[in-house]
Amino acid sequence: MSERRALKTIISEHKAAFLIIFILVLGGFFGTFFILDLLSARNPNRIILATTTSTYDSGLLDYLLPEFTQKTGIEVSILSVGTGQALVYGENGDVDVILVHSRSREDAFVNDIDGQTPFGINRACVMYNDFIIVGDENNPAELLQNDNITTVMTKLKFSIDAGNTTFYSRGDGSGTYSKEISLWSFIGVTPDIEWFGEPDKYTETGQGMAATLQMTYQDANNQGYTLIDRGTWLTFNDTYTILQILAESVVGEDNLLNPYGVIPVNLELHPQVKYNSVLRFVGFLTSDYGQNLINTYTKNGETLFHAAFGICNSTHNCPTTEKEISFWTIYQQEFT
Amino acid sequence: MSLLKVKNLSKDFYKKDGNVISVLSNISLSINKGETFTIIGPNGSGKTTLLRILGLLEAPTQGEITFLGKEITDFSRKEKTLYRRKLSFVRQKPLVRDASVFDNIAYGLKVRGSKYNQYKPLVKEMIESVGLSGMENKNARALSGGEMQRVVIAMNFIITPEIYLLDEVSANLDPMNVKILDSFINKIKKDKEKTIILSTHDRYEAIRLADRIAVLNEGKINQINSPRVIFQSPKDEFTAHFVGYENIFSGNARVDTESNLNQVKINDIVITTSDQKEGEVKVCIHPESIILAKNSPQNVSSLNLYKGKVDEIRDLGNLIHVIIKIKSERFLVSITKLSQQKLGIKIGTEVYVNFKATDVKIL
Amino acid sequence: MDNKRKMSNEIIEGIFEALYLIVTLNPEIWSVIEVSFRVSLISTFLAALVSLPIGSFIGLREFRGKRFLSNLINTFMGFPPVVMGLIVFLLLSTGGIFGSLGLLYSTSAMIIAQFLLAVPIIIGTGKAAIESVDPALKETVLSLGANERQLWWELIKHSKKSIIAGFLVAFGQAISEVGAVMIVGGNIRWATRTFTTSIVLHTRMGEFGMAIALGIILVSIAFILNYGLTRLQGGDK
Repeated sequence: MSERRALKTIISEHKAAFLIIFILVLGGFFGTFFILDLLSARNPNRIILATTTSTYDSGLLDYLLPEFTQKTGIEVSILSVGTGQALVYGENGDVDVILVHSRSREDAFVNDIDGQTPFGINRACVMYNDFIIVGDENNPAELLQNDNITTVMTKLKFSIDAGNTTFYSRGDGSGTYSKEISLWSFIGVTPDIEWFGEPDKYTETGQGMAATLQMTYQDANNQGYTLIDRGTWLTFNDTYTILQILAESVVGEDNLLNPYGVIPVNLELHPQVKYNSVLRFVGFLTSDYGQNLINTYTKNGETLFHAAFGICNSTHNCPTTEKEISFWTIYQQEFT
Repeated sequence: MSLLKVKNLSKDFYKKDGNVISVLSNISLSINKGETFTIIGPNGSGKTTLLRILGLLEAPTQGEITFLGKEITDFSRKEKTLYRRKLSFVRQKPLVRDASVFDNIAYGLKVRGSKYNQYKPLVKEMIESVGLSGMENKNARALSGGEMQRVVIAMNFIITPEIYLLDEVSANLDPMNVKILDSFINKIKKDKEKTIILSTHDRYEAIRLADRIAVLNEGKINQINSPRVIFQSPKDEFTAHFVGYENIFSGNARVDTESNLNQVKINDIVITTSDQKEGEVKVCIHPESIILAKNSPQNVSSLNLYKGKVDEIRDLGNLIHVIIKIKSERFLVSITKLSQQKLGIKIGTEVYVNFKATDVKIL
Repeated sequence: MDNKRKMSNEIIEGIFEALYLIVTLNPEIWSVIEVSFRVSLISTFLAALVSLPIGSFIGLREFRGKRFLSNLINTFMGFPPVVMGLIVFLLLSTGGIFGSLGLLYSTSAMIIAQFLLAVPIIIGTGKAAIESVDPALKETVLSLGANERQLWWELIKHSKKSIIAGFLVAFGQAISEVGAVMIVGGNIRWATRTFTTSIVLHTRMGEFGMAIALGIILVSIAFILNYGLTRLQGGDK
């Protein structure tokens, strides 16, 4: 009993000392990790990639990147955010490289005309996947397998106006949304103006792809349609069996194709980015080895992505193909 | 030598509805080193507030308090702590810290910088003197009310302060603890360096312990004087009604072995009492117990019989208070108006004063 | 409907998968546990270290402007975590004041954000704890000769249950927070992924097994915390 007293008294008489020890230990913990984080920020063998949620969720990167790390020792930290966010992170220099699928915005990102310093340099086409239109198996808009895109959009508009179809849009700044808007523009429709204030005709969910798909599936009148990337579809199609693919890329048409571009952040604007490591990264992605990996990645037995480096002109208009091939060849060497 | 001087002290209390209550108004008094100063008064008269202000637990609204010439209300935080370390304050309701008995009693010494090895023996000794041996490690809050009170007494008295502030402590003590407290207080009274300021309801406690008494009523000082004066010649009707009348004398008591009677020598008078307590005592006799006679009564059973002269007469309506001078002492006797008329009592009248030994209380 | 049954199958499968993942010590789960606890514990402890003295001193003394300060503290106690995440993000982003440190998307950034959220909570609860001590006790301690520091220590001792409850509240908020840690941490696999951000990700990806496993663990933690809080609710004397 008196020993316990003595211990308690010792502690209470040396309160200050014990407190200091506690602070040191705690500070040590925090400090160690803090310093590690500071070092990691400078470590060229760690780069940060910003990409879109649909890209990340497809699982491709978790399949691809460990190969890169194994070969080069460079860790790639992936931020999975919206397209708009990824681009802004790139502009701010908070990340070293971005991988997105929104060509017009990519072009703006690397724009060096008009006298401004581009946010990114040496963009490369990496791959493409495709978008499909899925809808209730009843198919009230009566879309047919071989309809071209103009026909598809026209039929949809007709059905929406008649009250037989509800179209579910992402309604956010995502690549999918950009694609959807461009499709509507083929028939001269600006959907959010066309069906302004009529959510039962055109619903802007503001959510991610999975949630939007869910809402399409849950449509009260079983008349939902939506535009979705194949990757997300393959993840969820088993669950939403009343939905079917009602329109997909028709031979000769590329407007449902979804090309991806990888863009290193401009060293000139942000000297702290690990440009050299990014060069090797893009070299990997565009090398035969990397491109082959992309082609062999499957989900639920189906391939999702198609390698596109150097051949993107065959799938869609790509004015920079020649420039890209000549720049990146060197960096692909180490991966043969 | 004046230890604490209070000048024009007032304390106002602001109620939620905007009204102001004057708890203390314009209090002025002076407390001397070594004395036992007692404050008495009815409930709500401000006794506790006054004590708390003297203990720096509350600040006055107005007025100044000087301790050895220094204004304590202006003290800095450090000076306040130093001042508080010169005193101890025992509350009405016992309150202990959530710690062991040992730890509670040791606390006052600990905060004054005493180390474990230094205070351990003192604490152990104190625990024994309050009769709590064996309970050192028990949590003080788990004790019975009476035991807790003893812890409070112990923890306050172990620090041997210069000033003891005791707020109606005996009101909540059981008799055993009153005895313990009394023994501590009497020890302290012998030390002329220690000052005791206590508040009480109990007239007899006031008479017993006080060197001087301050009567407080509705926040104002009514009278400050020695117990004898206050109980014998209260200033006004209120005081008279509140304190009651008593004859109070200090003397030396000794039991006569033959007769077994206790003789108390008070200056040049010897009074017989049936109380057996000896030594320096205070003696108390009700004015109503004293009988006046024009002629020396013969063959009476009462053992105290003296001759004196009427010095003062106060007409209180139905009752007459007569002050009789017997040798160098004054006795207050209470008789009916009828008796006064019948006996023809006037100033200067020679009378015989007579009372029983059993009516002489030793406090 | 056919599909509804499918969905609930998924969930049941998910629960089994969850148990499997937990029992086989799946490395991804452990990484998430490590990150979550490290971030929340360190931030709460650091916050306690800084905030308890501040909160208790505010509670101890009376001064002009105390009521205003109390209002301020209460307002910040309810500060939306995701907004704090945004603020820290802007500070640590390359364009921000501390951008050159390169701390964005690290656990240090997450700790900073949670620290800033925990501080007002612990200041507020610490202050309330000290103020709730019986004033008679304060006077008793003072009259025994305690100086301010000694008084402060006694008040801390007498309100330790309430103080610890405050820590638990802060920790509970930290470990279940999702917005700020997502924004400043980036939800990077193996590095800055916590229970909450991981659940968001796996739900979005349709991987319910992992999501439910993490959910089970997180709810268990919340349960234990609340149990502790209830025990402490007996309060100090």
